[in-house]
Amino acid sequence: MEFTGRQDHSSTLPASKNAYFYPSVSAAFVLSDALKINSDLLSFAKLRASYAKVGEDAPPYALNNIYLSASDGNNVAAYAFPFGSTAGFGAASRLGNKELRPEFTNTLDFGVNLGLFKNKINIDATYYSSKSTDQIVSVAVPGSTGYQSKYANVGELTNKGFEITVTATPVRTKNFSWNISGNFSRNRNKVTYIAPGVTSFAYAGTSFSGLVPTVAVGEPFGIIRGAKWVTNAAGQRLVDSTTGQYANFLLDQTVINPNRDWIAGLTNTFTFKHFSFSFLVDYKKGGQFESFTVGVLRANGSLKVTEDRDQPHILPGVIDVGGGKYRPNNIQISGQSYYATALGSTTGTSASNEFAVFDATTFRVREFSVSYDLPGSLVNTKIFKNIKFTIYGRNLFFYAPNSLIDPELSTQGAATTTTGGLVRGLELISAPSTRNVGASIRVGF
Amino acid sequence: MKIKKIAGLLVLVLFTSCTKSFLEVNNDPNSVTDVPPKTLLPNTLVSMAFANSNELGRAAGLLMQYNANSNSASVAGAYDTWIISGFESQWDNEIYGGTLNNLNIIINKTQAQSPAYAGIAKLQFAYTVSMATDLFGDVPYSQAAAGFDNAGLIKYPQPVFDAQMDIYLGNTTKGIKSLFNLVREGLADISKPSVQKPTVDDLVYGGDMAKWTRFGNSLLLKFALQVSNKAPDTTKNVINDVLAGKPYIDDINGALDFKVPFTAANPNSYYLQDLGGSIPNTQMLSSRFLALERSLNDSLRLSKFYTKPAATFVGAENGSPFTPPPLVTRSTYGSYVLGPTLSGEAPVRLVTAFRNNFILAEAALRFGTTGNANTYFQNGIKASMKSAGLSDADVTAYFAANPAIVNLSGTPANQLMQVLMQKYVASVGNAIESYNDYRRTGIPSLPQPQTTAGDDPNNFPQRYAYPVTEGSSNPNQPNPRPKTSVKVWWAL
Repeated sequence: MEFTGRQDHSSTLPASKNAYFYPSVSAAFVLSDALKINSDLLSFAKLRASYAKVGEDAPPYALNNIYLSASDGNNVAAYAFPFGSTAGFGAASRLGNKELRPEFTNTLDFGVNLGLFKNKINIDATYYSSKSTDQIVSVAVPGSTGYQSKYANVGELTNKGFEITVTATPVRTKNFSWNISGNFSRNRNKVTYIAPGVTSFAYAGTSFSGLVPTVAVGEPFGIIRGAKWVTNAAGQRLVDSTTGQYANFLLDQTVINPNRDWIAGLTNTFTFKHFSFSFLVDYKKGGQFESFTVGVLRANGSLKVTEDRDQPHILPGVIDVGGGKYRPNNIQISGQSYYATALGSTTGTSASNEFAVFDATTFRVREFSVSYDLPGSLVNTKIFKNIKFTIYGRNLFFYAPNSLIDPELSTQGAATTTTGGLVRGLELISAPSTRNVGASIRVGF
Repeated sequence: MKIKKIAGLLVLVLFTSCTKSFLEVNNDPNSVTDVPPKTLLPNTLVSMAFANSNELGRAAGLLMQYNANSNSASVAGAYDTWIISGFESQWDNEIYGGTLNNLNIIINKTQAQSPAYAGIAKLQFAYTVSMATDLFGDVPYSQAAAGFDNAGLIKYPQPVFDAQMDIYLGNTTKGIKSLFNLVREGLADISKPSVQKPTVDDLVYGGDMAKWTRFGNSLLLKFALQVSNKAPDTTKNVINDVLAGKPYIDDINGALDFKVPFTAANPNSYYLQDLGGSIPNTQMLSSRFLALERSLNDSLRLSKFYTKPAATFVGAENGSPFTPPPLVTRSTYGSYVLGPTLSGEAPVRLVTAFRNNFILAEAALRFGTTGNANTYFQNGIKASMKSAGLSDADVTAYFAANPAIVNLSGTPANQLMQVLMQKYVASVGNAIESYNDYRRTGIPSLPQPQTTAGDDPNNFPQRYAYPVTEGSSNPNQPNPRPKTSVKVWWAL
């Protein structure tokens, strides 16, 4: 059993609230020893549990409202003071917050390690549940207030899930062994509370082309909101009877949830005398992403799916005939209108984002390698200890049944405190992934 | 052991004694928490001009067919084909953040002791709000950029969208002050005694309060005409009231014009968009504006408005799907818009004598307000020519050679057409004003561009699309947003 405790004082929090304490406790219990189990079947069993609380402070300079030397614009057109000798200042677009508190995460986890068949099979399973409160996040504020963002302590986020790893050595003889290792994990996160009266907010500074990473109560973390075509109560899209296009769109709809349903991976390693051969595959189920590559290329007519552009198309949907009744859409529109207007051009301000969103389920052969370990007798052991030749291949093959493009391309970069975390689920016309094949020699002296 | 104890004690003493100052390092050394109004004023003037001349003005310039796009894949190509959206930065940074918020801070700081600052800030506030509502329709006004409450929190964290009619005419039940009354308050503030007064920080008038008074009364004229389709009595009363002896911007030589200056070191956005920025050469003279200028025999003004690198002016068709003319032959913005050396040193002209004269000509024709429509019409043309840099001799020569063009004739409808066509020509560089005139009167007639798209490819965009960023954090923004083909309240 182990206890820890830690007290932090931080200069980035307001003086009255800048000290915080967080403890943790963990315990492990070797069941097989305690119960004096001595069998070949259950050769080892251990139970673990732990509870930990972790605290964190705010980014620096977050408390005050400040003024900056005035400037505005972008690489197309801009202005910046001073103008000659005239100074110009303006209020900074981020509000200070003198009420900031430290953020905390409480995690509870339980695990069990089992060894079976004289430890030929090892199973390691963990269940965890963690709750993060008072997250310090840069929240978007409506521009009409004169400001654009504010650091705030925001509500409550839960993460629950489990992971299982199984390793086994089904065959082990003098010259040959086969080792197999598999893992499976599933995580569910949910935002359970934000602030009184607030049901959603946008991460400041992360919106792109009509897509706004948003945090919303009752939804998982990481969703992105954008535009969707208006539907009737039965979920059918409404078509404008004069143009044959979809009638209108609503903003602030959840269009992308990048979180996976579950992830599984499998590694097999075969060793025969001095050769070994291994491959790793994984399968990631679920998750969504929006592909700007597909959206733009389809609107341009570069994709094979647009080959039928000389045919008239009818958008799937219904026309409102009044009195709560609808009839199926039968208005023909050109291929140009169908692909470049209705299915969207990937900008959310004049058309919906929905049709460039794909399911990210992927099966991938991630690594494959063959290696040969030069036997010691062939090597001058005074200088070389061992020499190993390997041929390997990475990212050799993937299969994404519901997507027109490799779902594992993401161009939104790494997490920072201001962007609030990795923005996942946006493929912004990135370079394709690469398949690598290579050979290596490793020499030990 | 003793040393260890002493060392430990020492550390403890040091720690506790300097804890307080050790932790007080959370003030950013690169920024300040308070500034005097004289540093905010230059920013608000430039920001207001930037809002008018940057993307909002560029879109209007293409809609109103002064310019046509020369790069169909660019933003100019989108505006030229009626795709009028993507103004998040204009709303957040140019209008509400850079201009209105800082104006509100000036007003709060100076209302009591230095109402000269507060007064001119209110005039700027009214102008900027009118620009926002003319383009976007219903916009936040009474609750926008309102600063903080007593607890130091934002007073209205999700400002309501005020109806355009309420913004112009006021609504006492909802507590919305009409723009007219805001201007009148500003004018009253200007004439009160003031401890601090703007001097060199007033980039436009250098602190001359008499000129600011003229600017304020000119705003009353502008707003009065703007509401003329829906509140003609207001139009008549306000205009006649101003003409009954209140000073406004009327100097034909342009000495009283409200112009925000720029220099080659700090160039205006027309230059940066077309030449100096990172995405240049996306627009050029429209062949339609060129045809109009030729029909008016107006080559002198045209050569100031646009360049002529080839033997003749070269224009392009709006929305044309074909390759534009070669770059070296294109007519693009000239010295009137970009300055004598085409480096962006020309001012942004927001309120001018020529536009005031055309306003008064239109009001005289439509409502019989004080004054002779033909005199105002001719003064408008003269003031525009002087503003373009033509000499008095040139102006006299033009008038002598084109009597039919410079004299109102025919039916009232025809005379109105003449007035507004000249106003359209004179408004090169401030296309937002022409965009307002067109939606208010239907003049000039603008044939559809060769390619159109956007919310409604069959109907001219009557407004700009609301920004996405405002909508995602403010539930008061109408969702779904009105399409760009929906007319604003004061439109024809």
